[in-house]
Amino acid sequence: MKTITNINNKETMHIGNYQRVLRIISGGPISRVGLSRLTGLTQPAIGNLTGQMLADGIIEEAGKLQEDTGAGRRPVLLSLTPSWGYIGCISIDRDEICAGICDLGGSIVLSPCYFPYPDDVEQTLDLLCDTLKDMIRTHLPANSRIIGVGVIAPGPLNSSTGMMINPPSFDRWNGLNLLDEMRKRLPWPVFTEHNSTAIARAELRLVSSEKYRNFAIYFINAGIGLGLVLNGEIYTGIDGIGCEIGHTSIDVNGRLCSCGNRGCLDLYASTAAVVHDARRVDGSLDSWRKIVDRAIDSCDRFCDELLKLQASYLAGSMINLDNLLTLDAIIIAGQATYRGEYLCDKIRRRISRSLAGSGRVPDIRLSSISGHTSLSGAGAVVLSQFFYNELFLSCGLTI
Amino acid sequence: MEYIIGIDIGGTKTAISLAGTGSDIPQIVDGIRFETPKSGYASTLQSIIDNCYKLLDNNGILTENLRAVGICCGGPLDAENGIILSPPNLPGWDHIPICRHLEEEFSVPAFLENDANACALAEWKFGAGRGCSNLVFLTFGTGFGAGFILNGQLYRGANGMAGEIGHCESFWHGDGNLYCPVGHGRSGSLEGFCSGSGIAELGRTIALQYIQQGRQVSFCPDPGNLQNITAQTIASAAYAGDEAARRVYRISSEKLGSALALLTDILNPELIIIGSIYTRSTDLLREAALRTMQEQSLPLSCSACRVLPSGLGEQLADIAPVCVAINSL
Repeated sequence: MKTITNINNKETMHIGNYQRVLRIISGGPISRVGLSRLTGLTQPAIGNLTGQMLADGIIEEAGKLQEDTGAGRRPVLLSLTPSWGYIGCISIDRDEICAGICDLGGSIVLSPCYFPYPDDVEQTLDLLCDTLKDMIRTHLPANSRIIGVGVIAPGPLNSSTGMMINPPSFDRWNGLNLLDEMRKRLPWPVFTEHNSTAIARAELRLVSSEKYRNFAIYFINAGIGLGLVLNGEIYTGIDGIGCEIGHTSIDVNGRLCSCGNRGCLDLYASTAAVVHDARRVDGSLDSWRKIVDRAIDSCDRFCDELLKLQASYLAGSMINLDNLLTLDAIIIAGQATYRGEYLCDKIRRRISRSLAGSGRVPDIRLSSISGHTSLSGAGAVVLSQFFYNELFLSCGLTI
Repeated sequence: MEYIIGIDIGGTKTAISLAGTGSDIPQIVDGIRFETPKSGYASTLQSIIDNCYKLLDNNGILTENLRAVGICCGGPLDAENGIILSPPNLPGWDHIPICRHLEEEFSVPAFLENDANACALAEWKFGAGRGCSNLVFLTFGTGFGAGFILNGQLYRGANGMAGEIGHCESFWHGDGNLYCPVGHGRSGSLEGFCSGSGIAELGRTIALQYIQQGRQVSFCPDPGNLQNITAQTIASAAYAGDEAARRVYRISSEKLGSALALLTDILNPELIIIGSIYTRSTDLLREAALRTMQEQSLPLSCSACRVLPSGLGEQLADIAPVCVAINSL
């Protein structure tokens, strides 16, 4: 197999250019002239590269540029062929496991979910892998190319070794090497990552990189995860372990958390925490969606106050984060996006009151990921390996 | 040999250093310190320029051998365009294109960075943080600011103003909530505890309380001395075993610990370097800070993160502005 270390300089440069041009085309239809302008490569060089990509079938001609460019022919646009390859996507979380498939363009093609899942870890892994293999066999055209499988889970997770390291409220998974376990069960290249980081990757593919060079994802479900994009790149700290916000304390004399600390943000502002608080007063409020629906549709004061309180906890945490990192945006993903503008608006109000003096307030908004957020994240892990790393070399391209 | 001039413009003092760039670490050849004129930027700029020439002349160095000028100063500033915006400690400095002025004067490139970023660069390139990809530098001096090296590069944030950790609220109250000094006009913000001014203020409150209770306070024998209290006088008393002084430093170090916990959870860095007061008073601050950090952060990030005093020590202030230039060349 080719790796970057066993090929010569000329080949490295060619592969680098192929990957770079492909990456640009994957961002949306573009003409050869446009590619040449963006990359600084000559038009003949672009012609050669795109010719090779067309022959590989990884790109296709997608009509002509609409606006008239003046004299001469209207340039032909090139776009990625999403069905050139597929990615297996697996997400493991505290309250949901799911498997699905996305295409090379990152669109989710198939996504069944399982809830609740088996208590036994081995059984869970078997279920996920069997489901994925089954989906690939029955729903994808025969001989479809599987580029790889992305597996995401709550942190702390060492993305290079695949080791799950004492994830809070997720004891059964502690010490499991997710990467090894998945590789044992699947015949394709597997990559693992902390779920919030993976979702930041998916978001990074969708948002404007000029407008949002620095942003944070708050992935709000039963726990609250943090994903960071800084200077336009994914940030994970040491060993790709990723960043944590759910276990930063907001009240040292507060509720005791399974991580050993007191007053962790998770215990006050996650969807599970709000449901927990609601049920203590009204047993029928047993899901996050019910609380939101009742606050909006029935103007229920109690539910509205619960959301207001949640917003103030989240805002406090976001203000601290923004003081540290001065972000362009803080983006909310996960279960909390259900009719999420309602919560978002409450957070915005709290934040603009506190940060107004600084003359700059980050955009508080909902994730741009449409469809299943976690599966898109799992897909983005493999897409980033393909478009930026060496996985690209082993996928049968003529490079 | 080529030379770099480093200029540190502070509210009270300005320091100019001349450094040779031949060896591994920039060698500080000579330096001048003078009171920052209070009469606005024009006269300060003139004395900076005059003193730069004096420094070059005194060392027999021609301006042709000058490679660049690095400047550091308190924020807010626009590092990319080399403009000092309007720092609270430099009244009258409003949108001053300091780099352009110095580039025109010396015909070499000039670069600007805030204090915390400059120190982060210096420690990363030449101090305790050599070889790290992700580190945080905390000033712990007059104020409490952070400089970040993330993914192997300086991180400035959306508007170049990242690192305002002093504005962060610490939710860890502990013993400190009895006193709650005010930093940045907000009660409970970290700068109120983790800075020279915060420690002095905390010292005044505790000293007054002790005096009123009829207890001895060696760093403030009577209420008439309250205004003379500084972080340094409290530190000396603490080293000598004074109870009130040790209490001040314990509260400050617990707050520092919660700042460290916040940083390790959120950024999962390899290293946090703390300058100035921490470097000078490590023995007073270290133990309680690390204990609190351990209590409040996730074990994995905490165990992977080292916390060290500045590796460049007293040299840091001179090398930091020089590094601003080196990083940009």
